[in-house]
Amino acid sequence: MQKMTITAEKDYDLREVYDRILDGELENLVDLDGVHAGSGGTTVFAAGSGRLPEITISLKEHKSDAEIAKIQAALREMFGTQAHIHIST
Amino acid sequence: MRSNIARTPQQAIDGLATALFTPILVISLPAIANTSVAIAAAVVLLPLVWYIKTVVYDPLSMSKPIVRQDFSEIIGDDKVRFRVGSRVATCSIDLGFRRYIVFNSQDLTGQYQDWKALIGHEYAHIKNGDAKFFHFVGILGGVTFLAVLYSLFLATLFLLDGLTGQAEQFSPRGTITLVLGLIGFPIFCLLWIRQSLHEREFRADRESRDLDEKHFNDWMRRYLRHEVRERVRLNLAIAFRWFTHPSFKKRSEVLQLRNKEVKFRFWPETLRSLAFVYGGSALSYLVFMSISSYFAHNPDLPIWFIALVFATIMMPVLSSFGAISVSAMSAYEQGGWRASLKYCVAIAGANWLLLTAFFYAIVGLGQFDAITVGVPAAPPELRSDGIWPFFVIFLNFGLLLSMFTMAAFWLFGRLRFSLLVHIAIGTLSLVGAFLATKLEWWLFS
Repeated sequence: MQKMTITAEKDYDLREVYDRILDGELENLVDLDGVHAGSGGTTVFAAGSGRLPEITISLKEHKSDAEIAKIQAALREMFGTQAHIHIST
Repeated sequence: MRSNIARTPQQAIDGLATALFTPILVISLPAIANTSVAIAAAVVLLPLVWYIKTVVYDPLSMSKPIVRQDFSEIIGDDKVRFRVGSRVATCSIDLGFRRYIVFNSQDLTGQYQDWKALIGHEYAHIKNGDAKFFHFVGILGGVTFLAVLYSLFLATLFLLDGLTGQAEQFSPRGTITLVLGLIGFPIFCLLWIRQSLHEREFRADRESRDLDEKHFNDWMRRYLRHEVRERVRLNLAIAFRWFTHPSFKKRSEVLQLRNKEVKFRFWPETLRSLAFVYGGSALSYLVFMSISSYFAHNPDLPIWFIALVFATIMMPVLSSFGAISVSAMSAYEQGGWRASLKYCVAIAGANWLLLTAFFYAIVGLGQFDAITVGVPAAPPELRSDGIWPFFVIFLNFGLLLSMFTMAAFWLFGRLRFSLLVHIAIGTLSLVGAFLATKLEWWLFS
């Protein structure tokens, strides 16, 4: 199974990226059931749910290099120019 | 301005439970210091250093001040300072002379605008005094918990020495009492702290929603989704999150109960009450033993000290009664007579069964005579043997106590009146139980 991993450098938080993927911004490029977030730690007495350092996307169907490149381009567009995010497949 | 009078069961239970921390600190820390100054210092300093570093120093040192006039206008308070940092989680800090709301930088940016929900939540923590309450729980609660854990460790060593025949003098009854009490108290301590923290989160959520319903609902919806979807690997940070914050599922459920503090749940409430009762009673007994030992070595104590001693012994017991009373009333408010009666009968029944089990354990270990050594004989009309005293406890402590409390609540409709009735009846029932079992007869002779 092909797997795409988005990792954040240092303390960067992927919560918003994760939410935007789940809200359907990648449209039909990925199956939302295959999108998972790696759990991060949290600070005591904090309001939120902790940092998300990693998101994995399991691709159910085999995708060609061109399709993968399309997903990566869509992700890049979502992240803007944030260089501290890595995408590996 | 916060009122000093408890208006909800949670506020009442907080006040009563707070009274339980004082005796254990008064007794345990000098006792530990007597055996090891280094460990006593560690017990006091570790929670202090940990708390100040994790909850105060780190968020402030890893963030920078920001000036945002719109924040002050939204919360209507221009004295709160704002900070932002990429490595901190959004939180509130109240140092008394200065108040801060620290934002995670991502919560301030991006398309979801989490800050509009979080600012209300964090400001509620400051406004309601929660941020100050955290200091109390983090430091005093931590010290108490460590002191009890250390005592439990020593008691276990002592018990093992006794059971393996290595100890020169061994008192099973004293050790069993000690271990039971020391197990009961940390459980009670943790349950109370957790519930108190969770109640404060529910209230902060409610106030944040009142401030900006749209963004609050958006934030809640997304975090609920995270919670459902995330594959969480349990680690210390996650365990702490679970301890200090209720789940988003629970938070969204509580928000739907608009006017209720929390929905009454039979089993957790019953178990919590039993932990209160046994933690409080055992603690009271431990305090009593420590003080009587102190008296034996220092007979020349001022007369006013007796009142202090009496208060220190009674405080945990009264707190336990208060906890049951509050739960009984909470059951009455949430589920009516039937729920309250069910709760009271469960408490009475469980209490009776546990006491009976303890009694037969003591008799089975052949320690019944040892307990009554040195106890002056009670007058014949008060003497009783066998299982009968436990029926008396059952009647006094369980049903009668709860019935009077409910009746008082029904008649007066006010929390504090019924609490007074409960405490009065509870004290009387305890005196009756002590007299009936004659175990502590000399205390009153």
